[in-house]
Amino acid sequence: MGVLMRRNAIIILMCIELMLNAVNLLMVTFSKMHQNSDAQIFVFFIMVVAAAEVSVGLSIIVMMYRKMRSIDVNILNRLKN
Amino acid sequence: MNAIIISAILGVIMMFAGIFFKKTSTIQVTAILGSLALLVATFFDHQLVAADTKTYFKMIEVSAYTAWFNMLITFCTLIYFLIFHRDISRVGKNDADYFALMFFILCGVYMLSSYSNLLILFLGIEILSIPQYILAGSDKENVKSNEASLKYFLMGSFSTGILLMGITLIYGATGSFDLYNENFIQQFQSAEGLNTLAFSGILLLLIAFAFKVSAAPLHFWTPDVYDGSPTAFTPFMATIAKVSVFIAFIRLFHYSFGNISSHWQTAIAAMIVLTLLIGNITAVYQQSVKRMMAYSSIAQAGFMLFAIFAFNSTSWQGLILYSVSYTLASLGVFAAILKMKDYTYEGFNGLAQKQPILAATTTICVLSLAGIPLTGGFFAKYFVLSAAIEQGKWVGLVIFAVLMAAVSVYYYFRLVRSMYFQQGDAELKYEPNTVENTLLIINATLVIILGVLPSILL
Repeated sequence: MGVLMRRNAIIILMCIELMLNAVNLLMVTFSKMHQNSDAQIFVFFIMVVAAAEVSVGLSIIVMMYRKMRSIDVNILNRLKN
Repeated sequence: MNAIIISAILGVIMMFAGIFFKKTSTIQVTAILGSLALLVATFFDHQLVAADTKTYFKMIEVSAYTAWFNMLITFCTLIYFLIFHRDISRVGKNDADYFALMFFILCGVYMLSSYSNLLILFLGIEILSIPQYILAGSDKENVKSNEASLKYFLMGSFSTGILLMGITLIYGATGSFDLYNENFIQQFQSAEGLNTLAFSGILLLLIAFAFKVSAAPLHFWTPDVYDGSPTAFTPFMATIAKVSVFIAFIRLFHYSFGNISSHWQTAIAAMIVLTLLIGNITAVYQQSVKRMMAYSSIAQAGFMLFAIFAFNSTSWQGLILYSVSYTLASLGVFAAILKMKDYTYEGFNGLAQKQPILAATTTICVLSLAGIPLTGGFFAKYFVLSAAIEQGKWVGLVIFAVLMAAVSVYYYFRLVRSMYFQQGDAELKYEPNTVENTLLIINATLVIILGVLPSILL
């Protein structure tokens, strides 16, 4: 929900991370339920990919801030006709 | 199999090439030679694959279809590099890095076309997406490019979260990520025995895929991102990256969820109707050709969804034909957009007098996108629609699609009209040289060859 409601780009990013963490938790739970460890390995992959994604995302936000002096996503309407 | 490793290594080589080679022309030559090497690698993969081969702990499965698709998509990339290499270097100072990112995207493409484990599906989609976020924002001085990149990143990672949730729920229902595991197959054996967990997982996966291929209720990011990113990268993102997600889509939904197609087919039918309607109708009202191409790529995705919808071998052939003809035709049109100073319809006025070759090749590509006979687009549309007719029940949907193709002829021909029949002086940003003209002619010839002999791809 945070992704849809919030207007600050960094908070949206944090909400996305929260979604990924929810998935991690669910993965580990199911792994315990099924008595096999595939999902626990999967969790490591999700962590690595999430880290890569955050590093790209934060640098995009910094680039945006340098140009616009703001990280409010509401001002992102220049592309609309 | 080799192609996955070689493309990743080539990406690293390109990054080092940026340090060691100071001249841009050397970097461009390295990139083109690299894609040539990749083409050879995929060719060997294609030759070596006799039956379906599984490698890497049974996580990757290469079939003849996959290897053939990989080879064709690498060929399209080679053509893209040949036509656009100078424009890629003009985007910014770090041209070697752009080529490197594209090789990494190709690595993701090979993973997506040959996964047999949901882990590889997830990794492939991420390796495909993250470089695209960077490429969209590579023109740092341009606010529109920054904006496109941020929008694409936020929306893309949101859809990644949805994809992961879908994978997790399917794991919860089956206890395995392997598509060929006994429990996995058994769970999706019949429509009655389907567990709620698995069903919601399939639904979430469908949403995530629809997002990545920009199908209708989730298409809103597409026009902004394709319009905002540097024009040199838009064709790559709109064609090669997009059609490979379609291959992943069709693999998962036909191989694994094929027996329970009654559960998802209606959802895809609704998506097709919305995608075709929104894509084509909005494209009619655009003034900028680049934005029109973005909406037309949504509309073309609607046609490609027919291949997922129809459940037979014709749809597999149709998808591969559609991928290649759509890619080649889009490359031709974007090559013309790049050369123009003003890429609205008015900017194209009178191009035919100034640059007859550029105008002619663009016309052929546009005709192919509209699906006029004797071009590749006609047979591509014919195959995916006839796959839907073989299905039987949904003839109304096919008639609707044909009507929408007729609508698309309007905005494609508007471009042809302004090039040939309007007076004006089309100002060019870059004059095309002989080499580029030759390449564009070759590209247009390939589009026509596909229209005359579509069977060479099957």
